[in-house]
Amino acid sequence: MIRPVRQLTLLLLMSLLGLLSGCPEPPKAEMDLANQALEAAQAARAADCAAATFRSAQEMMERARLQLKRGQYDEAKTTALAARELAEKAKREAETNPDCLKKPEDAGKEQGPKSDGDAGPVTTDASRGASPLDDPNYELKRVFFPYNEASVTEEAARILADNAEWMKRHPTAKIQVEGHCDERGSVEYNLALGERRAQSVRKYLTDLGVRQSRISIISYGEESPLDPSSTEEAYSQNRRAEFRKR
Amino acid sequence: MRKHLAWLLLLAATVPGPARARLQVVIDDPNFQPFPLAIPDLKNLGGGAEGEKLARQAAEILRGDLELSDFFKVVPPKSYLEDPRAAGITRSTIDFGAWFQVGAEGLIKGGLELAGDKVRLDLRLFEVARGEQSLASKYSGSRSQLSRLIHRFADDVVKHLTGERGSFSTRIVCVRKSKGIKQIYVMDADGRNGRVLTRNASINILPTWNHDGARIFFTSYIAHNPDLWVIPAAGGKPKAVSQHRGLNVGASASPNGEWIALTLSRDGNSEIYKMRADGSGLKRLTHSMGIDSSAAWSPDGSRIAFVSSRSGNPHIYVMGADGSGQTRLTFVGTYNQTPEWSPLGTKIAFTARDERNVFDLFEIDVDTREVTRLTQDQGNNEDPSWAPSGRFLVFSSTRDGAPAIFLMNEDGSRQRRITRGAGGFTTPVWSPWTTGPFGEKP
Repeated sequence: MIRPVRQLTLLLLMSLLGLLSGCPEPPKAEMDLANQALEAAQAARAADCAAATFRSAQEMMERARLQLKRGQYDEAKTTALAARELAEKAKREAETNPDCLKKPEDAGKEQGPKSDGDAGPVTTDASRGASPLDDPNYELKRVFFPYNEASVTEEAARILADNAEWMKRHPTAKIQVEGHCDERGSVEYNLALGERRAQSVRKYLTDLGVRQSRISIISYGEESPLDPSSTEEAYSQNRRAEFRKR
Repeated sequence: MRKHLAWLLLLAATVPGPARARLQVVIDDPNFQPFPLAIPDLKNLGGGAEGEKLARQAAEILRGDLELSDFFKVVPPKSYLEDPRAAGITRSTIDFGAWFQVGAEGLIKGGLELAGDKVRLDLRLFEVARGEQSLASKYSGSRSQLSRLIHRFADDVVKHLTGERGSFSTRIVCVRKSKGIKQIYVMDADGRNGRVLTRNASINILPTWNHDGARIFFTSYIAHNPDLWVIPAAGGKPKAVSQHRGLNVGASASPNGEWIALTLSRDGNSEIYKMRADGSGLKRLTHSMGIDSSAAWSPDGSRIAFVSSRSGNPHIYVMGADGSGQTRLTFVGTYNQTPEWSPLGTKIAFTARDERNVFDLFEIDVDTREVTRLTQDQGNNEDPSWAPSGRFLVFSSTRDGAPAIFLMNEDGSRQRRITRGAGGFTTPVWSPWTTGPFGEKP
């Protein structure tokens, strides 16, 4: 019982040290956690019961391994985090998929008679159809940024993974990423910062395999707030990137 | 010879000039006190009730100007003892003793004649102690130009009494938010006579004057990209100047009008470029990983101040107009923005976020690098811009709630609000000495 905890502490310490020293280290902890999450998802039959999300998680993990091999440690770390999030999401989806709620052996029994009916067998394609990411009208979700920052946060990475997946499933779709800022700071600098936010989102999506030519960017600086009031809460809502289908 | 001398004497009596010993307001004296002026309502010289109204309005504008200049103090009209019905506007009809009693050292009197749409003004400045007229000017124009005519006389008074050129014929451009849309807005230096220049449903921001004040550059999303446009200062159709992909923002006209410096992101990152005023002859000036923005041409045209985050945080930098010798100027603070050179080129005013995360105005001496604070503890204060005389700065402040435009003296004293009315007013820029949209000569 003690050993896994110790291992985790060690990993945490290592990643902390990595952060403190500031020099790029291979993101071993993130890679391991992502692998574990993938295994857990597999065990929950995500490959069948949440096929699309699971496949995204696997692809993301592949990408992280590739980046690791290339020495792009920062990128690998973010990608691994996204892979882990996706894997956990796949696990949750699998566990709540009504077609998969039965235990495997029960499912086998159920499927026999059911295959004669209208519903048909539970297949990968059927569970894929359940994903909102297959919907052409799926609303791409906005992501938020910390004050004066343009880099993609962990939470944003999770949302961007979905958005990228939607782009992949709708290969003719084109989008514009809009970068926005809160009202503090100079108008001109905020235009530049908004553009950086849009750029970093575009880079994240292209790193996940979306062709850059499908993504245009525009900065609105502080000119188009979601919430025009001058409160911290409004500011945090206004520091964002939006997605507009074109 | 004697005849010549007689002529000279006569000239000296009618034309004010340095040859004659006259009242002089020495404004750079450390013991300077604002000079007390009395300005009764103008006399309505025919024009009925409308003329009466305009005569009152004209005096109000004049009082406002001369108070704003901070060289003068207007003696409150309620204290005036002279009977306005009995008194005229010429020397022989004025009871100078009555003006002396209320503490006025100078007296401005005038008449206004309204005929149709035409306004004629006869304005005179008197020295109370000597009982002499020292300046007289006649102006005429359309009714809508009344405030411009009064501003010109205010400038004449400033020039006559202080020897300095007055600032009241200059103008201020800013952004006014109305009905949720930001439009480019031009007003007189006293905040009056404002009008919206752009009339589109897009976003219009970051206006600045061309070198002679005839046109205004601004950024607009009219064509769904932040492009640089230009519009006549008197109003008209906007024309696109720079439409590179990405940002086309923050233009600054070179003093000779040949170039504009601006921020473009066409190469993937915000950098400073220069181009000819028509958008041709593009040349890139900065090459840094950080955000480079907010170019401001020095008054002699040899240098450009700008903001760069190349060191991690945005700071003020200076470079040659060809991009050479890029040097960091500010080392205090973590967020310094919007540099603007003083007209003499010795100082740069800028916006800084201080340790309490409040935005305030500062200036830095370009040679000694000494930094002086100009605003404090009154909301957020941003985007300073110098009057061409260098005596005043205009800026936006949130001290009364929604952002409004304020003036202050060059040392930060006497901060006074000049915009009223709904909507926020932001990013003001003071015009150069101008030949201007109304054709007045510099």
